[in-house]
Amino acid sequence: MTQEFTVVGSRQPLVDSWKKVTGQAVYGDDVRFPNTLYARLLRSTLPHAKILRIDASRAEALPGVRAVVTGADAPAKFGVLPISQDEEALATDKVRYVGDCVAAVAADDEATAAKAIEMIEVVYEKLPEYFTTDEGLVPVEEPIHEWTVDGSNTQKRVDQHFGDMDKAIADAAVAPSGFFKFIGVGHAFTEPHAVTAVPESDGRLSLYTPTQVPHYVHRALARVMDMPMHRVRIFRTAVGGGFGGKSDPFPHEMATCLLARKVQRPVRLTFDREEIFLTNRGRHPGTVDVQIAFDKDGKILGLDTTAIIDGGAFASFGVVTTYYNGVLSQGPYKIPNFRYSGRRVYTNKAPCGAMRGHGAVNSRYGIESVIDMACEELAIDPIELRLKNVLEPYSKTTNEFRITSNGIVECLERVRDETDWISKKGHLPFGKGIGVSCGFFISGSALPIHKTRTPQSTVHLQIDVDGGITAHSQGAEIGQGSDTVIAIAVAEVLGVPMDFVRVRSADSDTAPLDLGAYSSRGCFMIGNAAREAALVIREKLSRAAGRLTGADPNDFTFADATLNCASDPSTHVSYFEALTEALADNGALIAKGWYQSPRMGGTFKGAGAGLAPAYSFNACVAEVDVDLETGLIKCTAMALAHDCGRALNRLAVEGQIEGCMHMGLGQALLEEMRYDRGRITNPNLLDYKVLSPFETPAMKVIIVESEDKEGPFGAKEAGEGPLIPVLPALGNAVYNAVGYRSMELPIRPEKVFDHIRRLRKTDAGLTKTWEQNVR
Amino acid sequence: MSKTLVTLNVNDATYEVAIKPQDTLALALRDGCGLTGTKIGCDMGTCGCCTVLVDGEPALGCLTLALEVEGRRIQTIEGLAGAERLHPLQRAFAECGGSQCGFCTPGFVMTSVALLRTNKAPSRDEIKAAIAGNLCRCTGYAKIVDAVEHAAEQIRDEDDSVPTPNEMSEKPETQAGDKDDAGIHGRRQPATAGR
Amino acid sequence: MMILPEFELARPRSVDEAIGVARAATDGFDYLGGGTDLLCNYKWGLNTNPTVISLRHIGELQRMADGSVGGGVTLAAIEKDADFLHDFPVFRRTLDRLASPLIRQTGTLAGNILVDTRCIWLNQSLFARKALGKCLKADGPECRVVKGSIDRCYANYSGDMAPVFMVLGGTMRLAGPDGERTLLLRDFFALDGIRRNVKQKEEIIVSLDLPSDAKTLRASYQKFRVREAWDFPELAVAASARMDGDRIEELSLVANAVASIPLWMDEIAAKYRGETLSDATIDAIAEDMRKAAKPVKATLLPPGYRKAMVGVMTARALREIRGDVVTEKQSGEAA
Repeated sequence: MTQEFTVVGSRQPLVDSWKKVTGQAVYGDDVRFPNTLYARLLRSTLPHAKILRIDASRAEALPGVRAVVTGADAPAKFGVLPISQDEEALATDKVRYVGDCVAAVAADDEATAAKAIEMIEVVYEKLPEYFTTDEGLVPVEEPIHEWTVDGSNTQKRVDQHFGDMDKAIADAAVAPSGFFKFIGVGHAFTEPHAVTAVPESDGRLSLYTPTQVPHYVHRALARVMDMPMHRVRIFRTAVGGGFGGKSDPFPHEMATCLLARKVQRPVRLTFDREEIFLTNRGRHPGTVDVQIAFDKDGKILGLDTTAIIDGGAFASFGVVTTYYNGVLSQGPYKIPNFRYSGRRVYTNKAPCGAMRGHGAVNSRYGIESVIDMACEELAIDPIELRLKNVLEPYSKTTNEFRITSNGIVECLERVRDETDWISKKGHLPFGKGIGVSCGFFISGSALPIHKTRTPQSTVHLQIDVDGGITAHSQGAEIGQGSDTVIAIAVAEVLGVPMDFVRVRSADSDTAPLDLGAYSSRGCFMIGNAAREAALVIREKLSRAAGRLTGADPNDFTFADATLNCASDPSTHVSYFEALTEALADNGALIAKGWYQSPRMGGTFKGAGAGLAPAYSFNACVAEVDVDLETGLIKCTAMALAHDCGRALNRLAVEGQIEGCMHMGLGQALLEEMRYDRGRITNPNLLDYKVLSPFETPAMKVIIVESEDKEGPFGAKEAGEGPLIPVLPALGNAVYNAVGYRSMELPIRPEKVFDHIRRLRKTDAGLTKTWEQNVR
Repeated sequence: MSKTLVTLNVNDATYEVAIKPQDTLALALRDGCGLTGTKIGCDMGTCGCCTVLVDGEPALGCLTLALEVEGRRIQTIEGLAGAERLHPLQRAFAECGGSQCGFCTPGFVMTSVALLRTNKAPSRDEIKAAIAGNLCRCTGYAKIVDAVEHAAEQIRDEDDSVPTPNEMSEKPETQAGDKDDAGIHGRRQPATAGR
Repeated sequence: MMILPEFELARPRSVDEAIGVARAATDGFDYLGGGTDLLCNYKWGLNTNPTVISLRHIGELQRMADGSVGGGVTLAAIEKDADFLHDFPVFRRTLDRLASPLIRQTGTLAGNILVDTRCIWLNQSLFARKALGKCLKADGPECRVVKGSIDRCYANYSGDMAPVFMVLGGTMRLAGPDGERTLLLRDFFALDGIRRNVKQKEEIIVSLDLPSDAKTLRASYQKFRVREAWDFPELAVAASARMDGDRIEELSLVANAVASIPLWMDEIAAKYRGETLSDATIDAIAEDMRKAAKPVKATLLPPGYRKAMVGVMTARALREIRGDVVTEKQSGEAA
């Protein structure tokens, strides 16, 4: 490493953690305004039905009820993606899933609002119900939405072919394949959605909401409320976890605003846990059918994959998800021939959307399981085979992704060496296993959702006589540490302690545009914008120091709140001296920095999907202990090496990676959204099983720093990518332990048990079977 | 059903709160006392975000009726420390990365206060067993265990190095009944620069 | 926020006073122990009543001495009672993986004994029950698990303490309008997910009492669930034995959480009294227990698997009683 840093790379507590550990942080439901009313939503109990009539007269007559709104109050459609605006504040013509919002009530207290909801009479006419992707791929009697492919329930089709996949398979020494099934999983953040809408005295409208994407909420709300954007204000409260689950503009946000405008009083709406599951936007259930062709040395010749994903009732981020399930297979290995077919199908279930590792988690499980099969067929060590196939740094993929920094080799080598892989793999007793997987993810989407030339991130800095640096950004701090990234970047560039920097990122009235916390874009884009802005300030302070000392302004370095002249150690001025000089006859220092991705990518249809200014790479090794009597799987240890370019904040990077391991293991072992004819049956945290500390293994985090040339101080993402290899590493470890290849997630103990029982039956010597079949 | 006025003793202050018989402690604290540091995550006793101390013992605010704890000593996250002097656990949760989104943090901190009151030097397994009723979706618990371990160390160091007159007069073994001890470590220890 | 229904809360100071309030509550009442079960069900709108009688302020229910545990004693208090755990070490493991440490703080012994039966169709909000269709136990016409059952509910018994008290020969002291009565805990339960037991509505569990010779029994409780925190048992087996060398002198077995009540497996136990506790005997008992258990689809895991696991858990319980080192997967130590 050539560059010396003072703050970058240290272990910094998150700048907003102090108010969180003291209870001072204001989350969605902590917002308090005088004269507030309480709202509740009426939700559909039918999966698919035409609304014939809504009669709210009894509810409106209930003492304490102040307003009722229905779909007729705001029929404009919205959605996070401009190309698939299919949501409504409240259902207008029909309901599309159990949980769809039909009406909203504002009342003096929550109990009255809840009572009133029960008094609203809705007359429905049932429509045919569709719960599976299979039935939705072909034309249906009553498509769930108007705009679908050929009268089916298919929302989006993607077909891509690079090279000659058939030839790759024909030429292959081995070409294993697998058909994998995935159940839906949810974000299970701890903070329920909770919003307060405030009609301001000047006719504006403010919405306080724990959102990951204030800007998209801003756009959608203005559209639905039919107000110009400048008359709408979005205030992002503290966000109690998002993971993608708070990255859509939501019907409940719109409905609460409608109520507030109608009664001209603040209205607060807080979900219960069940409503979080009904709102969903979790990871798509679906199938992945993947075949990979290898030559005899284990070089990948081509990858052929089909993903059919179950979107639920609305589009959400689904178009992106459909692409990502294919195109994010283009790393971290070189894939010379590639064919992908993706389908997203509407069903009458809670809508799916973006969740940590968006679109790249289930497909990766399929790919890495099939690679594991190939390793066995070719008798090549799984880490060795992977090393043979990795993309070069600063190269291009077949579908023209621009690969920049790439630490995948170091990731693989370090998980191998630091887990004692070589002495364990193939030498563990029956029941114990070890498995590996790689991962690959975007570090911010290079193309914004809306076609615009406005930068993706802008940061404003302001310094006045107190010397404190106020940073304005709309970057959405959701616990991942984006506010801290800004503070680190500014403190690093200006050589001041972290506590000089105060980040204001909550209020759309003061925040310059940022697209929000999704696609792992924050660190890369906000970090760059903050750094650029700080460099402008640095320039101003340097010039002031030059004026004060007569030295060359370009000769100053910044550290310990002092500007030191590099060529003359005796010449230095304090940060405050320089600042005072800079403020003279000029006033507060103001600076702006922004980030916009460079142009990149191919020209074919869909070339923009998956483009990123940088990509993260990682490798994970999981160790398991399978209970041979019960089939229960215990993950005993996990190591994960992640190339994040550079760790701006080692504490936060470790925390993100550990969180990814925990969440990924949850999906691999226990988590599932269970449905009965379109109705979710486990919408609570007892039956939706997030891992407890007892199921969480010893976790080893290995930070790999490839120093990206375009990343801020070399940094790339670390918040989503590390989840991706966790699931296949676990699956491969289970296979290594007992010879059971789970073609579905979660891996079900009853099936592991059945497998072991079959082994015991078919061969007197279990160990013998084991040696023949598995090693 | 009409509301009744009850007196709640929260963080050594007296709150007169008008509540209904079915109101939970979490609701009374948040809406009645204005203490929104206590969070409601699942409302069914699973996530532990609503954990507060009642007479020094952890209690689920969402499954405790407010009327049931009338006259008992209630402590919430707001009562642990002022801004100048954080409780060692609060400091450790921030410094060790035990708080990401932070929504579960008040509950984890309160549970841990109770643990460290009875076990000054818990092992990592003991910490895990103690926090297993609190759910965190961000951290994978590793840095939470770090934080509790670190805070325990801090408290032990402070206890060793700065014995207070009160401590010196205490019997070496405190028996049951010293529940008032809960959470006072934060007040006993000196403020540290830069937290 | 979930909304609790309106109710009156009574806070009697004695058992007699509580029973008096109960008798006066003609529109229906529930006793409230720790609240960790009842208040959840109330938030779901399941079988609520206009009067709730808290038992938390009654001193007589809080007593704990020499094998007698008051119904109002919290699970955490039992867990901290070194004498009790010394005398009956089987409770140590039973308690430290029961629900969660926070639930155990307020949850009481009587509350765990009486924990309402659970079912995937039952433990749902009113909204969900409207969408899913209601079940026999909560205002519906028939059982959703065993279709066509209109008079019997198949919800799953999910307490952990009762089976252990049962195999230790525990008795239950009940106080009611007609005075007190004592019965063997194994006679307490009644095989129906709604009726559940023989307690009259007004009766209060004063205490559970273990006979002094229970201290010399060897006992084991093997609970099966997918998470070591929070989860109710998917199934469990409790066993106790008095051994004469390696010969079984006395044997008690309970198959738990595979029916609407903990099942007292007396016939199987009787069959093996006098036998040597060999591997073959253990396998035979396990197989008998497996065959006898007939779980239905009321919980997360498939009934066939749960049935198979009854055998595995039985064998583990017996091996622990024999003194084998039972390998239960321990959690990995956090780095």
